[in-house]
Amino acid sequence: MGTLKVKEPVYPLLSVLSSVTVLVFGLVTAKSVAASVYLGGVWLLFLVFGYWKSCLAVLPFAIVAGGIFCGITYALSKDATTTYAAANRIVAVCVAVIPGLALEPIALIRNLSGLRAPRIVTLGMMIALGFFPLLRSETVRIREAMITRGAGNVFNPRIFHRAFLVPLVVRLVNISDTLALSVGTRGFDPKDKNYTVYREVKFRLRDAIFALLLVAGSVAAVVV
Amino acid sequence: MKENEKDNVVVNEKEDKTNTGTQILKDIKDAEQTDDRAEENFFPEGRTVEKCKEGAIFQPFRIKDIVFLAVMAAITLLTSSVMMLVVPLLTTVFGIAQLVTGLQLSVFPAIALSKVRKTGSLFLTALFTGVIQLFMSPAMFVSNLVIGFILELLVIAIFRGYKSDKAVFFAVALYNPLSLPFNYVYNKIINEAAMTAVAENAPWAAVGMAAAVCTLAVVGTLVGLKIAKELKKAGVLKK
Repeated sequence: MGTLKVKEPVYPLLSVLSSVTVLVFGLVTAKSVAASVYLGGVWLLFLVFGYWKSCLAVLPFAIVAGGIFCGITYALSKDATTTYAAANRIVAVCVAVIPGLALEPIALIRNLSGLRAPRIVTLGMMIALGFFPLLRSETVRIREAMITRGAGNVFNPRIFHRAFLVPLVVRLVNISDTLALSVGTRGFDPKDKNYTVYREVKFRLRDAIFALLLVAGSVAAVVV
Repeated sequence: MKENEKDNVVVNEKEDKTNTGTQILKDIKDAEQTDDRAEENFFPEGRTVEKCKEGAIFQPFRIKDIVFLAVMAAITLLTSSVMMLVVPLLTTVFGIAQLVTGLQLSVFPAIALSKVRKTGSLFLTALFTGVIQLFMSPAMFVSNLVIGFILELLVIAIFRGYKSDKAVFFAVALYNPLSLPFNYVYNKIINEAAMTAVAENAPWAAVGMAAAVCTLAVVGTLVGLKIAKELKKAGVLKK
């Protein structure tokens, strides 16, 4: 995710809303020709607004998944319209994911904190969003430990439970305890409402233009 | 003379300190006794503040609880990413997404709720999981929140919180299977014929898949509760 980040991202909450908008309008108009034009237009809009890395990253997935998805749909329905709609659906998912791929979790948290969202929610979101790389490394470590101990095949349910699942949960509990202590020692208080956001995320003219173009495109896709 | 005066001053200071210390200890004891009396008056059946806090339906979340729920939400989501592999089959096999995520969505939430037995824990886990899903599927986000909320209400009404393992089992075992009817209704509303047709064209297959999803959810919840019990015994999973 880090390699796909944008220098000047769109207002974080707006990028979440743009994902939802693209997905909803993409699915609703999936059967019409306007859907392809709309999705292509949104892809270009993201490209122009600096999301080129994410735009390019979703292309291979869109081609492979779209190919499989359309193939299965055509094999079952023998209908070109249904297959076309299926292709639009998978493209809609791929385009909707673009802002999410480029969005830094901390930017979203700053944005929500600036809007005085409950601190419980922002803390939980920050941990959930930023925990993936750590989880991956923990999983790899436990797998390595299993190999070192000669624990056997991980696909055996008993071995999986005893040698993988239980150690993983123990590690997770320990990590969460350390993390909680760390958060506590930094003076984080879930009830404290008087806090300062040092780097506030502001809504700029650029964001307004992005929102206007997206809304105009979405409405046009339904009307046309 | 001066030395004697100094000695007197030191002795007086020491006495003062001892007196002050004794006074403070006395004050603390008095305050504790007053608190105990107040507690006895407030909770007449011999219950203490702690016991009453434990018995309350709504308890405040500590940082520790939120962090643990968020970590469990992250692992649930990470292991559920296998769902991406079955996306092409969504319009062919009813409930395939729920089937492949059945174990993950029951084992980890069961462990999370076994540790954080507070009303709202399931809803918070659903919220943390849903936030990331929002970019891929708003339907899943809405489904998570609505189902989490409904289950919280049911748990309050039936069990008055997650104090017993039965309540945890009830909430977690229903969490994933409830998304089947939700998704069906959602696809009906947005007129996603391909998705609803899967259930309508082969209703018996849909019933079979629903049964399989329910079975997996029950098995996963039992496994989660078993792991939680083991960890509690080992002293890893403390409240």
